[in-house]
Amino acid sequence: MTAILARAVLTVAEACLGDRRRDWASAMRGELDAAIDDGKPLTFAAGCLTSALREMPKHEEGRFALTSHAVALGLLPLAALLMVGTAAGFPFLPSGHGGIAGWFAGAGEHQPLLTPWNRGFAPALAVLIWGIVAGHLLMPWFVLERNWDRVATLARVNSAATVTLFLFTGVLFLDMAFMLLPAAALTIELVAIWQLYRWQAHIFAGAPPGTPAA
Amino acid sequence: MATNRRPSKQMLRLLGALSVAPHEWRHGYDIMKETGLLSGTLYPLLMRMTDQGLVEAEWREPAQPGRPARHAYRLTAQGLALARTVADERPLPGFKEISV
Repeated sequence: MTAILARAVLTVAEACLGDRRRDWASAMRGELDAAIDDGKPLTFAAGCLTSALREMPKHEEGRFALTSHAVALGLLPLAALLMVGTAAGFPFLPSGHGGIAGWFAGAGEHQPLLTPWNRGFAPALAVLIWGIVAGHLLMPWFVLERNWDRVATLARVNSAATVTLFLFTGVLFLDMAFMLLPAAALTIELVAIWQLYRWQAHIFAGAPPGTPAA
Repeated sequence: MATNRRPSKQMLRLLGALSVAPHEWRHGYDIMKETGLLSGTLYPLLMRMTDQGLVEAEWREPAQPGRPARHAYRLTAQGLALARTVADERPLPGFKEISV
């Protein structure tokens, strides 16, 4: 069991070392049997992983991987915020005297924006927002896979959904302030992804998605 | 390119171990046991020293069938010269003078 775990840890270390240090990853793997014979495979593998992580900021491929993970992790709170906001009740920007703090404490004043006239649109709006949330949740996954075709498709879908939400809001005479959060989330996401795309195009020129640098 | 900085304690230990028998190729795990360095310290050191031309590495066929090939290491002439220089300043653990 420990040996299996150690092999798994070494696989992660191998991925962290990237193409530039592929030989070193194989060298570490070559020593694993000796570590198993010695009864310390996990200690050995953990050390190799530490080495690999320390190496990452030293080369561009590693820095890109670290940044991609940071961006991907940074996108998750945006999706979570939208999700929590939707669950807390549409619209999700607080209004009244409670402010943000009051909203988080559940004590903020809620101004119902949907009137009996436009309440029938609530399911459509909720579906739209949940669609945007799903899009924001999938985006980090595709970014880490460097599947830029899917990233571009998802970016278009997210943009279209946000614009539709914007139009809905306008048509229903709702408070446009509640569009701030989805619009900000989309803008941050698109800018971060565009920067990552440009960077990866420089590093992985000619390499198909998900493959190491040439 | 060799560094001008004073080698670290760990690097001195590695230089000392590898300079005992400079022509002999050593496996990573054997070096770990000999020097007491952990893999998290040894491998970054070996990578850096190889990049600096102080250590050379080559692949060795496995002793037992079915096992992967292993990397073996030894000091280059430049590495040995550095080992001798630092040994003159402060004796390295396990260092002994060997003509090359």
